[in-house]
Amino acid sequence: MEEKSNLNGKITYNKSKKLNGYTSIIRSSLATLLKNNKSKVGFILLLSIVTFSIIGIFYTPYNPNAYLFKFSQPPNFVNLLGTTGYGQDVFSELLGGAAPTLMIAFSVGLLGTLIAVLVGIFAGFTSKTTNAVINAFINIFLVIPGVLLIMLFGTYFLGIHQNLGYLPTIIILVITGWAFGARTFRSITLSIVKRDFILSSILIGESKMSIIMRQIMRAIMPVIVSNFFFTSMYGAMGLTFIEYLGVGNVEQVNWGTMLYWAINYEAYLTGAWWWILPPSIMISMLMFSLILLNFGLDEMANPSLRVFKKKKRDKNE
Amino acid sequence: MNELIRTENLTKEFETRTGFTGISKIKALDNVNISLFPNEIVGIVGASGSGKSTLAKILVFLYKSTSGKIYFKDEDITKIHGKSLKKYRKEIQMIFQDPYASLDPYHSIEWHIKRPLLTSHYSGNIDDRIDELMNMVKLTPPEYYKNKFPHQVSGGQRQRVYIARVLALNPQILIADEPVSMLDVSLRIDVLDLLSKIKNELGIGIIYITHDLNTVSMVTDRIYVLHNGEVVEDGYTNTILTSPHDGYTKALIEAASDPYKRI
Repeated sequence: MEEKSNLNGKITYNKSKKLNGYTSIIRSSLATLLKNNKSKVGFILLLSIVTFSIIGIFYTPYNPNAYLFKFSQPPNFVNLLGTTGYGQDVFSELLGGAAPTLMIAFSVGLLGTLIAVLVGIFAGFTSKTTNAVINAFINIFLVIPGVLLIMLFGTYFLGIHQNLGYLPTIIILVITGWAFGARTFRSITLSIVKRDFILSSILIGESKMSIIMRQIMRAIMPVIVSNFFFTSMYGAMGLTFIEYLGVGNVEQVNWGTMLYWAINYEAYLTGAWWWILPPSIMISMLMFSLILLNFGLDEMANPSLRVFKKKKRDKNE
Repeated sequence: MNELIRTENLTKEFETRTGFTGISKIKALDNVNISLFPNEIVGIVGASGSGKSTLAKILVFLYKSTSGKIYFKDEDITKIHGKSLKKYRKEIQMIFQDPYASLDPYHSIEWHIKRPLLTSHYSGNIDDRIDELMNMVKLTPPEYYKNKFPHQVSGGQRQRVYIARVLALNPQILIADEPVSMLDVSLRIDVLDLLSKIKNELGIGIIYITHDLNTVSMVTDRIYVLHNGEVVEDGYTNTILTSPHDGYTKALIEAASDPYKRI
């Protein structure tokens, strides 16, 4: 009887442990991320930019599209960041344009990383010939000049006068942005698959799917997150670039179109710094925060570094 | 008593490319005949590059042999694949040389012992079985080690974890590929002790691969001496170590370290 109750106790104990396990992975990786000063700054910066964009979804002081004010007013109490050469409020544009910019950056990061992980792990895990074929395929996408493709597709979508919103932009950026990550994941998977602990799992009788999900994904998780940040950066930069060139839909409000109109109005010649600087600074801040976050990932990628810190803390306790 | 596993003229050639079209072949194993009975430890001795590890990897089907046959309990298994290969792998397991590389750094010790129980659809209580296995390899108390990660225990303990992991499948054959060569000298005896204890308690056959003749004399019943992929000598351990016939065996024994010898 005693044993039975003991067993029951054990089982429930294990279940609760498992739940704790998943949350603790997230919590511990967040903790390691925040332990590093650089990534802490990056995290706070990104968090504030995201908050800024969320505010922009629900509230802007004025309608960012409406021409309500005098042309090219420097910052004053009515217009915090002045007005554009067309009479729009710059601060409202900045606030309202944040969400689309971030949305595109992160969706390009998410989609690009997803494709990269799927293709990369598959290439690393299949036979030699399939691997070579996929590798050639990745290489083709790697050498496609993104700028050219962007201009080509951009003008095409402009030409057919179809308003698909940001969809074409996202698709183009994902097509030109996934290949680099896929190559990284392919080579990492190739090196992990040959290690003893994977051979051991094959001998134990684990299925391929189980090895991929339980062991390979776990081992490359920091690289996945880092790749997400880099591809997001590419997304933000690509969007700005597309809009700046004017091959996207310039009627939409985001930080890229703000720059497009500013350059179009030759704001740098008329001295309207309040129009050019805010979107430029915000884009740079976004890039900067993502780069800083990547620094902290170095530590996460190397579990032995983490262990050292843990041991140190144990001693103190 | 029948052999657990027997090889017949096992040959393995590796192909390497030379230049644009040329392919040169390197013979890693040349007509190797070995056998293993239940409840015995067979040593395979040889220098680096003599084909010891190749033989081990062929026996667990990580490599394919070029020619020759492998019999498992008098059944020809040279060309098995798919489901029957999975079934066979439950019977024959391999202990790797480096316990620092053979355990997944991202998973706990409990996970390592639990997975084989899950993949082999163990019918009893899994937690009890884990405790039993950990006691068997002297990782006591089990609760203390269960939630630790591989980097938190010593090399000898890691090798014990790995042995518990393979024993979870109830194999009939264990292939130990230099299981102690990466360990601290003082810990080697413990692991070797454990291997012979497992042999006696579970009656399984163990193939012990090593280049270290000192440990061979401690645990093995019979040995095969491999040189350039060929078996140059085989027989009972005592007989061979006291009166070797082959020149290479003599050289190996000569080279074995003796604490009182000076160069």
